[in-house]
Amino acid sequence: MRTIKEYLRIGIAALALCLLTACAEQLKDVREVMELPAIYPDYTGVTIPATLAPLNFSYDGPAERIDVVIEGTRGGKIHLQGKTARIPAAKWQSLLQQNKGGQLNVTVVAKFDDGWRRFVPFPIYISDAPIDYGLVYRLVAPGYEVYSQMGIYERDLSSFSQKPLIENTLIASSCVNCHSFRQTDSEYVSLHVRGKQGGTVLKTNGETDILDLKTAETLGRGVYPYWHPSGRFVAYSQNDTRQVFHARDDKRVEVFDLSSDLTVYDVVNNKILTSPLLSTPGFETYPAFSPDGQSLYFCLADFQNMPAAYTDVQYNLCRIAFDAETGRFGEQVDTLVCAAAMGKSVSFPRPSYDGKYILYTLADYGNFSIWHKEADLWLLDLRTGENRPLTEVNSDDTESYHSWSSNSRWFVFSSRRDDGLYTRLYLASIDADGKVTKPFKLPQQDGRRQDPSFYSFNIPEFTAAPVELDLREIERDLLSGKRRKAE
Amino acid sequence: MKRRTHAIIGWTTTVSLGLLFWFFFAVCYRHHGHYQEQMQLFLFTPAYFLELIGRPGGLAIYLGRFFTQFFYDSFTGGFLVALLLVALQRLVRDAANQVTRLPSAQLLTCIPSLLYAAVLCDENMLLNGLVALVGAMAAVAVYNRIGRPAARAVYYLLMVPVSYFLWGVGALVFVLLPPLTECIRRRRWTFLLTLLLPGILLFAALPFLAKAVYMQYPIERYLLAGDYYRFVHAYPVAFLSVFLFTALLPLLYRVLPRRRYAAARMQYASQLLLLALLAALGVWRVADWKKEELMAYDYYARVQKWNSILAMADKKAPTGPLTVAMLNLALSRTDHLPEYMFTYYQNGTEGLIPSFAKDHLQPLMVGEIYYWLGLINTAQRFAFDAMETIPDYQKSVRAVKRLAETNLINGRYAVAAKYLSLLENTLYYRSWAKQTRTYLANEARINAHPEWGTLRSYRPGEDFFFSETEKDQMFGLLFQQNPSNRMAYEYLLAFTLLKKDLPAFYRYYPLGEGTITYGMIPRAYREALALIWSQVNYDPARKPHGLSDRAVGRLENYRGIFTTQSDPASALKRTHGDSYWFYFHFGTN
Repeated sequence: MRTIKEYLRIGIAALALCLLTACAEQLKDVREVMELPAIYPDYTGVTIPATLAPLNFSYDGPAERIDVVIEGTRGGKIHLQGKTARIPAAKWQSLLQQNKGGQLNVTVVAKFDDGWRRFVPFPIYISDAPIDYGLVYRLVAPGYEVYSQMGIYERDLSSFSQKPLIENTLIASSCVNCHSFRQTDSEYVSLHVRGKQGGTVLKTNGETDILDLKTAETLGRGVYPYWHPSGRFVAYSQNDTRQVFHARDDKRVEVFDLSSDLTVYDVVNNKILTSPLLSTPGFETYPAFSPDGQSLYFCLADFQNMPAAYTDVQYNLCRIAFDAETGRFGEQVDTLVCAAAMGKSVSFPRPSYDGKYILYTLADYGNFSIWHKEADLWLLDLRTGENRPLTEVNSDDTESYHSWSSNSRWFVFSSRRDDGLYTRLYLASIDADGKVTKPFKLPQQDGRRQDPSFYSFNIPEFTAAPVELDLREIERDLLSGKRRKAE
Repeated sequence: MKRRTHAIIGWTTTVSLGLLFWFFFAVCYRHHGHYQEQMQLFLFTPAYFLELIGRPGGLAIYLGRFFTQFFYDSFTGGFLVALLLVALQRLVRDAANQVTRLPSAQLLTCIPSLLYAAVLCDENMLLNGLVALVGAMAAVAVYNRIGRPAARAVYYLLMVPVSYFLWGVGALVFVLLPPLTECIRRRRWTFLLTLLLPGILLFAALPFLAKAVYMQYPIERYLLAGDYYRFVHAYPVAFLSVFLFTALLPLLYRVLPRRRYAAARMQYASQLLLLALLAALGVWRVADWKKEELMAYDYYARVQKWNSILAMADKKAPTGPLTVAMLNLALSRTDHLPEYMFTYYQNGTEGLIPSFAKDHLQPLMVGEIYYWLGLINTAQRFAFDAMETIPDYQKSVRAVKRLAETNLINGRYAVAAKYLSLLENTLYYRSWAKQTRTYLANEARINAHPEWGTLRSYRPGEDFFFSETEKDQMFGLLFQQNPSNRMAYEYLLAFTLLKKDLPAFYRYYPLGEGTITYGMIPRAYREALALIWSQVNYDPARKPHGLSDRAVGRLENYRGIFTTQSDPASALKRTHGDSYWFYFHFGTN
């Protein structure tokens, strides 16, 4: 349902652009202001990839219109004027390519009641490091117990094009979640359809299966999947999750597990692999394979009586060895970050694919960090052992789920910094020396602050190429009830 | 009968029909309209239009919602529905005239409108279907005005997919009517093969084509394109049969007999009788007055017309948990709860504050109670979840308004601003949203606001988890943290009374001393205290403070009847049916 809509939008936008261009006002009596313009999203001084969609923005205040000049240090210029800055895509892409490795200088002149004001120009740096084709995320309302229409979508990072991969409207009364790709490889997909006719959709090398991962030994169906780099295994967490609701206004929802274990699904042999070390009375969750496939990182907390002791549940970042040849786990669990000792709790450990870092979320307690305002991103340097908060990207509000680009030079993360509730996506780069740049919001066609969407962005994952799912086959298989039952 | 007379009768019929529908939907059945209005969020934005128009049946959906928003004011909403129904009647009349001019039978053209009005009595039937029917019949009218047969054929074959795309499955009327009219009017049955068959084949293929393009819905959604019914996965046959009947009715005119003047009068009379019977049958059999009552309670609670609720209850006491809960809320808002609650039928604790249900109306209603209690987070959750439960995936303007309020009270100004900016794109909520926007981040103004400021002060300072099974404890905590929260105190005591938990009542009752004052002990408390005292044999040392001898005397009178009558329930219902004692012994908790 989106293609025609998009074409119509583009048409209207083009028409509006023509009209606006035709109606451009002359800048008269411009006053110089020695400060940066208050623009939304804040793109001042950000570093972006050379293939990114236009950074449309608006003046975050009572300006009637803005006049914007974007000039590349290596040539090229775009001049536009309107209520918001809607940058022509083709000119923008050409400007980025021309200035790859250089920078753009953006001059904003805004018209107020008392006339035009020119602000200090700000730079946008164009990185040499490429970024992947797109992002896959779930769009879901930040609700409580009930969900309306939602789905998993793919966004082309070079444009505003977003296409649904699967929506919960396909199967009545279903929910779709937990999508995962093998190190951004869209040929290897795992996602869940929950509900009466649900199942785990697993795509490997063009073959799609609907799995039932519940066995007599496991707590439930697998969630929070993570692919082994070989594509032969997928690690899952089995969580008996509950939620309760706060009465005080500074918190809304508390999500916790009554129990949780880890398993690894052997795709080739259709078997569930586990270890007593991964199904202890404690809480194990959020598995992630190391890029060499020899370790499984995960979060582990001591058992607590729930929900009474929910604030006492604090997860450490742990590791266990994994032998992909035999499918066996190591004999011991190592603790990499003892967050509990800091009075904190780790969630979403995500190793960079070059093996240098683990990016994770740190909150005061628990593992459902999206409802924790204090949750921040932290970076563990696996070469030096340095463990630090990513102050370059953190905000006063929640930072939560995150993932790496295939070259480990970019990461995307979800943040509630915009309004404290609706999660939005931000991206940042990290260079060879570990220097992290100022994050930028995923470009949106409409750069205004008041975003009418009821959706939060959830579980952003990079994909190196467009995801191809045979939806007709998936629908048929889900409705047929046939499942590949894991052993 | 002269042509002019027929014309006068025709227009009189149309106008009368319109007035009848207007009266019915604007006055008699208006709360169904209010219910419909709150289950959508119609936005005057290009994005909203584009999102809907891109679907099969999209224009019907857009216009259906456009008209529905006017039920904010039932007078206007009822007028527009009447207008659509009247338009349908005129278009059916026009189609019938194309088959054969039979003015003396023109009253029969009212039947589809009457049937569709009956269909609209179902609260889940949306206006989209009626818009689609009118749209499809308008396309038929255009067809009938094209002179050249070849041009008509081209128009027909083009309009079959266009009608499906604009109006959804209601385009079936357009698929059937023109070719069948041609067949009957010209008595050339070849039209069945040359026009009707291709039309039907094309029409049958369209849902599958749509499914191939828009993959994210099951095929049923395209077979019933247009979302005429709120439960988009359901198959209500009622409206489909009305569509079919509308398509076939004009064709019947070919076989109806022509009457002379005297007979025509009889024919008019018999048609009028038939229409009256149909209307009466519709009101009697199809209209759901119990739901209308529930929706009235909901509407009055939503717009804070507490006295209207009390007036309704005085006419006919509510019995369902939700209606009783709204009555109790109205009693509380007018400071009458402890005095009069047992003068009405009580439905146990579920009739005070029903438990959450995954429904699109119930949490909105129950959320009103939590809102006024000061459990703002819970009111917010109930509003959000109610909205997320709407079966056709729409958003709710009422829920969004409540979310704007709860976020404003909670000081979440950025989120409140988001909801306000949505409401600023609506017709009826724009001015409220603009006015409310002036409160954003203005702590002093919010605190001084008679509603938001008070509710803000009621919010719990210390955190606890919401619990459906420990509501009395939540009320207690609310009151403990803000002793000026009279409603929390009265709900706490009402909960224990309805639960027939007298020890708990006796334990909690003194909590209000010093902060909650009454001229005299309210009746429910008085009667409960007398009952408690009677259980210790009126031990003078344990006499509740302020309890009058009169109350004790009434209890003794009650006990006398209770112990002496063979059927005490019937006898006591007459004499003490409005007492707590009667509820205690015979009520359902």
